[in-house]
Amino acid sequence: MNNSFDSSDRIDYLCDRYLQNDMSEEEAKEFLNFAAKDEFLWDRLRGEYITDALLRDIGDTADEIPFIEGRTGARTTKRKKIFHFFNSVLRFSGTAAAVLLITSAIVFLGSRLVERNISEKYIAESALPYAEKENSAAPETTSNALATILKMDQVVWKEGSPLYRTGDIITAGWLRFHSGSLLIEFFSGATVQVNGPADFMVVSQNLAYCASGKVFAHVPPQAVGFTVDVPQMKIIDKGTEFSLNVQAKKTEVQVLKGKVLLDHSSSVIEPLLAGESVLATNDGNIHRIKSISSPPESNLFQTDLSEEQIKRLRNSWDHKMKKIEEDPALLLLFDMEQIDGKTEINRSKNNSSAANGTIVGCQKGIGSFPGKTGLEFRRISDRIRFCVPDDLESCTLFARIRIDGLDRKNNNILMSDGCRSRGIVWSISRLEENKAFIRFDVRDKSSERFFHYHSIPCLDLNDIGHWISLAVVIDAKAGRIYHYLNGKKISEALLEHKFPVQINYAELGNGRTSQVKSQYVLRNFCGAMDQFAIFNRSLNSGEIGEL
Amino acid sequence: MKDKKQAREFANAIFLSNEQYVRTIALNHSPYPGTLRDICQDVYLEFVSHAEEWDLTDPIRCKALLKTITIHIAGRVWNERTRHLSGHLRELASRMRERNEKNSLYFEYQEEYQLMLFCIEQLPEKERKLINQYYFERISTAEIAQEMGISEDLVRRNLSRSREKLRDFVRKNKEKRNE
Repeated sequence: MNNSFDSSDRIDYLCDRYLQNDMSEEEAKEFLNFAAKDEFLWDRLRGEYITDALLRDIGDTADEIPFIEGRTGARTTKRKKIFHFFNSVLRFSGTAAAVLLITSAIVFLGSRLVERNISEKYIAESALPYAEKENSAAPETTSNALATILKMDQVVWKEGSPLYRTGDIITAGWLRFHSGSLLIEFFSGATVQVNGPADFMVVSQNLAYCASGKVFAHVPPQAVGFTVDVPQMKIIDKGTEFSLNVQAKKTEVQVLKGKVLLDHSSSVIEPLLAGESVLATNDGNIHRIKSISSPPESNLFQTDLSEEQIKRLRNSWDHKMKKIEEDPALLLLFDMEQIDGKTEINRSKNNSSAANGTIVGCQKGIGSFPGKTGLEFRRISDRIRFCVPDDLESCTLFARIRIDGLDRKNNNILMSDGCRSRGIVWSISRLEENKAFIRFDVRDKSSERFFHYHSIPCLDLNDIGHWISLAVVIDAKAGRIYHYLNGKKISEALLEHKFPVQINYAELGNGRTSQVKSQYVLRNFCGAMDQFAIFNRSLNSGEIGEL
Repeated sequence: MKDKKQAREFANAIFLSNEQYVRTIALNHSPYPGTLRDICQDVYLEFVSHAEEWDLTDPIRCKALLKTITIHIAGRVWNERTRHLSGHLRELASRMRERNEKNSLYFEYQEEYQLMLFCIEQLPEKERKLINQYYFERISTAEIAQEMGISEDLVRRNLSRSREKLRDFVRKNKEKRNE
């Protein structure tokens, strides 16, 4: 190579620009000029490309070794240690043969370790932005969520598939179901309805793979580029609506609005306009058809339930409320609907000593089903004040809530005023790593200490935005206290306090903490509530499930 | 194979045993930076999701099938990445690909991988440190430049030379082995 020192420097630089994928048009021209004079440069660039790929692979393999956890600074440190270990082993090995033997063994061991998680690696990698790996800032846990399930209709999941619920967030992976329909909203803004039987994989927030099933996609302008990959081709959206019918050996595509691009071979990109349809088969053939043979349904895109469906839900709710009202142990029942001005009516019909509640600030919002009202807790002052003066040996507290955020360390569901003696605090307490647990604290007579009854960590980011039901049951006879989540018992503990609790004046969704020495003074709940009840007996699991 | 789940598990295992082979093909057919992982991911999805349609009992046929899928997907990914390039950039990428395909640069990925690990250690201290920082600790060239008190251009040139040196070491070691 007869290049001057300067041009050699320049070639080094240009090779690196190419490999880092930030070469400019001018630089490409410059490289081509150099290469025109010296054909060897192509081999040089190719060699560097392979070396670069191998080195990146070596780095990635170190990432996948199971005992390296996290994706932050801690991980980098551990990775450093591993390579220092490599270096030191290599440095002190006697002969080249021994060195090769050891490296081979390590590579083999490494590859075995990687093997265990490789499927997950291929599925999940696209969900992890490369920038995240480079970030060496302090760790802040986050979710790898890519999409949300907006609606579901009679979905029967296949064995081994995650059992998602409406409102769940989805990370990269398969959604496999025998029948029913799912409405998925990708974080890019694209929304798709997948009709079963389907094998549909969420790959990234702008990419999905459909092995089988019927898909109806609505892609707003901000999600242009949303791609559905099917066995025969890629369907790249350009801001539109389109339908797919993916079967074992063929795929039909129909564009309803706008335009999509079909990428079905290494060199052919074909536009498909509104009203046009194609059929692609596994043998690589693609031809126009009039329309797809069995178009997917898009019924879940309809925003409202039918009147009949709403009526059915309402009847079921009313029936349930009437049943609860008749329970002689019911002290207080707020349905967040029987509201007179600022007064929340206590629906208990037992001449309960508990009075109506007073709504402070909370606005009316949507409850746990369309047509049901709930009360929103948004501002720091939002609360419902009420009073239950009874001594409660055994009791059950029940609340149906929607958590919109865990803004505080302790997010109160209920708190006795100032948490006086024998008073209680029922709250959701946030942990590190976006998890939370339910806590129920009882203050003892001397007002100097609390008895703490905590659940296991049972809530996480997936529960944000969902309607959930919580219950806490004090069973004095059995000497136990239980926490329930969505009708299921999640924790149980021995009762340590030996006196009846007294809620007395208390607040829902907030709490006066003036008498409480705590660094966490702000305890307002962020979310909504559409049912709250207090019984002066311990309800069993079956009864809680019916609330 | 009648049972889908079983077929996919089987395909998963076959893919793993041929992963290095897939990488080799991918490197040869899509010499564009940053495409290797995506190609392997797509090949994996394609291979496993259609597992029940293929006869996976013959290892030679499986390898041939993986090769076909990889070439097809590598072409698709390369096309996707270079589609928006224009003028000289596109010409450069195309010529790289043509040369790769014409010369059919074939190598044993596993062997190269092992040799690479060995050869990193043969690099002079400064260059080894640079490779470690950039590839394994994922420190950007700008940050390395700042830390070393030199220009980023110089870091990039040094990186390029280190890679070239590594390539040379690997080639020499290969020759030694074959002697």
